[in-house]
Amino acid sequence: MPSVKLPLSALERTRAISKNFFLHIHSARLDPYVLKPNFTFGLGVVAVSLFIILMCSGILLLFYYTPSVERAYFSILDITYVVSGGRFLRNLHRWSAHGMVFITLLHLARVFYTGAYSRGRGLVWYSGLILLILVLSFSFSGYLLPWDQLAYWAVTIAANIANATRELGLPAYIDPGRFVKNILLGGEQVGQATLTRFFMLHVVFLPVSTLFMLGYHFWRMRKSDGLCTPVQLSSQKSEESSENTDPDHPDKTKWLSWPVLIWAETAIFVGTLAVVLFFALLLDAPLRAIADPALPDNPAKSPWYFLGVQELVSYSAFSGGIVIPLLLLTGLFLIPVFDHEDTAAGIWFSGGKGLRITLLSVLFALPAAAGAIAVSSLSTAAFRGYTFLTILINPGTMLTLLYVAWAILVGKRYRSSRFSAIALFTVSAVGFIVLTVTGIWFRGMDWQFSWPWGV
Amino acid sequence: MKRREFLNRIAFGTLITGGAVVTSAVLQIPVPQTGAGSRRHGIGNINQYPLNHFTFLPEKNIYLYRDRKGIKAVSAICTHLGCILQRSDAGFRCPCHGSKFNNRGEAVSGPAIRDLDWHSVIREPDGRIMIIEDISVSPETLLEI
Repeated sequence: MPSVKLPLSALERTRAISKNFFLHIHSARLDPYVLKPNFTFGLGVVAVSLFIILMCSGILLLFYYTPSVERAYFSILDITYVVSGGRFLRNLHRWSAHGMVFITLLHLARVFYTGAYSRGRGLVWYSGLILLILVLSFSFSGYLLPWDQLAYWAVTIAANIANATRELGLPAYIDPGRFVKNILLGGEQVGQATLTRFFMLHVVFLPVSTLFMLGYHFWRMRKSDGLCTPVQLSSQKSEESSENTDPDHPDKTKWLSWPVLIWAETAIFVGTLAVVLFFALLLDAPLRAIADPALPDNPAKSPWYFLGVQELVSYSAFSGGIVIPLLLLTGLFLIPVFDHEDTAAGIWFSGGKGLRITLLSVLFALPAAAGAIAVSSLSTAAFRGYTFLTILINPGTMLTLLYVAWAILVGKRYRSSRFSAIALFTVSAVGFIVLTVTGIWFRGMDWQFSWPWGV
Repeated sequence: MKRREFLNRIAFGTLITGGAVVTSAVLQIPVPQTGAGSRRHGIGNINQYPLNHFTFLPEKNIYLYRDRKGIKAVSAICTHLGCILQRSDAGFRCPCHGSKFNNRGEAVSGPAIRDLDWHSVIREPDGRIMIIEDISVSPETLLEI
């Protein structure tokens, strides 16, 4: 039996990282501050762990899944009831996918609130946003594959959201939405062509793009000197050496990554795996009746992370399904362009004042969003004959205007782009959460408002 | 201009042009050829459809209305986001986002802003009755029986 020799000297520990293909994406030395659990909560590593779990479970599901309209639903039934361990595998894949969306959003919030997009980390932020889009595309393409009622109607609705530009009355040949819809569906309606396309996206295009983008995300982060840590703390760091500092290196504020970073990451991976395994054992992934192109479920609800958008499109397809999501995405991309105040970067909420602004923004955003939902129950009879005006005037657009005004107000009051960004991010996040919660629990038959306890 | 510089420009220009041509050709591949499918539907014997009633034709996603004077056909696809409408007392309602339409197919409330399409119903020379989806008509137009 060959003996396992652990690297002990500083040189060996440096080499353990830099000469290993899988470990060399880490730097050989790190700022010990990044290991504080309440600084990052390890969210990025959790997301990567889920991605690995999804790749493994997805490859195994591919042994049995058949991407044809006639066979897809029954191959899922086979996986669930015939293949040994198949039900468990599908549960694992489904719950990891939900977790992936949830954790990626939390990771986005963590990076934003600690200001980690500044000090030359713009490209890390942009590649992260592209990864968010890829994660959402993964989920979207993935839930067509079972070919059940949820799959069919969610994709029909989403394709028609893209096509909502027709509400502007453009001629067909310059209508960008119609073009996107046709590219997505491979035809006028959801059918075999759509399933083939989504299958290809889900198992080839998106995994390859995500692996590439992840690689870029990590590489760019290393080139930006690792995670964004607070400046003043680095200068206060003591010169005292510990077992983790490199005696031969002049910078005594850094630790050797081996083994502390590897321990931390392994622990997070194992923890993540334990949680999704637990869910997979306990809860079965839902599967509705086989897709019926003549009869949508009532209510036809998409998965939780798209219910915010579904609530918005129930006000207006064009402004709720295209304009507001694009504004949100553009806003996220523009944050590093407009905010250059990096003195407090690396500190949660940029300190006490930022935390107060965050809490104030929550207090402002909650009643505003609740008001929008209350308004949405009003009759639109006043628009009779001028229904196209609802594109401009609806609860979604009004809420967006209020939120933008709030961010401008905060920016002017505190003369700070960072605080303005905090205000806008917070109100948008609260709006997203309130709309999502409404979509999950407060919408019933025909998407009418209803109390979850059934009054 | 030196010879090398000239050749460099030629090479660079060729690369850009060629790249643009190839890219635009490749981008055409995912664009489907659509609209070729038949949008004419036969409806069979009209006596199977009850009088003064909207009957749903599942394969076609159309509601067929028949009364003593004649028949007409309205699209069952919600103009908001494409769900299939269900009958309600006063017209049609959408299970997905709550749009409501009256019996004339007009958007009454909810997020839909366009009225439903009424399709042309014709009698072929051989006597068969066909719904032509590509031709829209007014809600009053009946094929007299």
